[in-house]
Amino acid sequence: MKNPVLTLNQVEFSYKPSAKPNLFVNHLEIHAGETLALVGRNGSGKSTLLLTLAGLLDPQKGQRTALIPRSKIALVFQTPCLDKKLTVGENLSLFGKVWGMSRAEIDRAISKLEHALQLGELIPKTVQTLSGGQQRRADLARALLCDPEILFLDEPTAGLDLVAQREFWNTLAETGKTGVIRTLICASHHAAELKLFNRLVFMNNGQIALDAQQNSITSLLPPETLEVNTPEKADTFARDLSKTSQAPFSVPSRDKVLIHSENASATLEKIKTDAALNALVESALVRKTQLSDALWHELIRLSDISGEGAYNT
Amino acid sequence: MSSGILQVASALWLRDMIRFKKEKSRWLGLVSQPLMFWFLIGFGLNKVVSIPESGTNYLQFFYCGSLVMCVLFTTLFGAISLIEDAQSGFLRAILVSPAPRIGITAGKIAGLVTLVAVQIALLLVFVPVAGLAFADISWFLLLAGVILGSAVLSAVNLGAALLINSVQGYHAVMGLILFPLWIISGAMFPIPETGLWSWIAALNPMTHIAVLFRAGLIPSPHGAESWLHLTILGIQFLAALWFATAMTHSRKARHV
Repeated sequence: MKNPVLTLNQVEFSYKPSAKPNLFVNHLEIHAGETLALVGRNGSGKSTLLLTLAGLLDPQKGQRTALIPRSKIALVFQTPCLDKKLTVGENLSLFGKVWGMSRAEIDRAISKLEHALQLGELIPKTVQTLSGGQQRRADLARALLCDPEILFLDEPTAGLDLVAQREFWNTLAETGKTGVIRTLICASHHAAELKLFNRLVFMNNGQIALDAQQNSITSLLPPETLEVNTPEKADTFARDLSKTSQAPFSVPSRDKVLIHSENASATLEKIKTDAALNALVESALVRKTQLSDALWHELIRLSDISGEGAYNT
Repeated sequence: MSSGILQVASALWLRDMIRFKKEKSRWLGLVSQPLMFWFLIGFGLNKVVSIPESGTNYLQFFYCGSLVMCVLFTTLFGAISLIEDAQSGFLRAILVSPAPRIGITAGKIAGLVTLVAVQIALLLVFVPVAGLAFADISWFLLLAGVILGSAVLSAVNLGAALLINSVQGYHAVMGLILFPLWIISGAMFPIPETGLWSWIAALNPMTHIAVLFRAGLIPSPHGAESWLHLTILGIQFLAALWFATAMTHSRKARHV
């Protein structure tokens, strides 16, 4: 295997120097071409890890090694970083110059991104007149302008509606096809977004709790899932279920229980025979186990929580 | 692809100019505030206050003081934009670039110096109203005072803006420090040349700016001393530039 492009060794970072570290990473390697997602609850340390990897936070202990020059690292943050009083074109020109690009290089880069990001109509417009989704698109262009070898994304679709979220990821996928991005590292808690990443790193209490390939995460659970809808009684259903069944299950909301097994239809028949459980069921759906199920299950297992809504499934 | 200091500084300077051109409401405050101060205080006190051994009346004396106030207020309020840049994430996006930090600071300083220069140029229209003559102006001293003086105050204010990182806090702290320093800089009244006053005056950049403006606008036999004030301002600028550049390395600047 080639040398990693980014390595963290025995890294500790704390926002308040005398306090308990907000991040402790024993060892982490990122290789060229990887698409890696940092997963975890709010405050689990995924953004801190992302900013440390990007070199924006300097660890108090340990070592960060980067084989990629700073000029080839780009970041997209939770909110667009453009100057809202300037047009998209003026912003791109400004950031290009700050990155050391010549006028000709900036023009070439913009025309390369114009098609992939559908920038044409946005370029003469002032940023503050654009919709949230358009601002993210322009901000993505800002990040991609320098033709980065690594792109860091810190919850890039936070605050966007579902359509704008889909538009953002489609745009990013489009740029991926054109070979603009080589390595992608993203902090996110939207399960739907995580399908795009081949490696998932689960964060908990500032530490890496699990680091695995996406396909191996999905295979942690049985292949079929029974999705039981129990309006506002999911906790009661789960408690009763745990007394009668060994099948792994999770409670993603107050209305829903997910039971994973080799044969979900058989599990449903078994529930129907239990009068107490059956009375709580409004409807049930048999389906294949999805990545989002595995993510939700792992998150609960790793952080030992029973709360709801930490993941959008 | 490597960004030079000049390229980064010119890009950020251009950005400030574009913003200024677009924000027309800022044009109004460009000359109206210092003019208002000068008219109200200058004309109000002209008949009751005399400046001994200066050969000028109070209106002329305070005209120079009003120009110093321009430098102070434009750099003081202009630096607030850096706090907004830090809080909006714009500065963070600039700071992750390979751009040399001194280029970033220099660009912001150049933007503020340009605004001060435009403001002073507009206010010079009132030279005859103050009873002064264009023919007597030493353009070199005036220009050197504008450029060096506004560069020092810009760098101090930009560094402080990043250190304090809150618009309200910055207003409170800098208003508390800089406004009294303007009053005792010799802008409003002559300051004693001995004791504690003279030490404070020597350290206060606005004292040197006031002296240079006065030397530039009012003919005086003490022109040679201007080089001393220019040198002190030059040293203060280097220290302030270091301070402002060092502050761009702080986590507050990156807003993380």
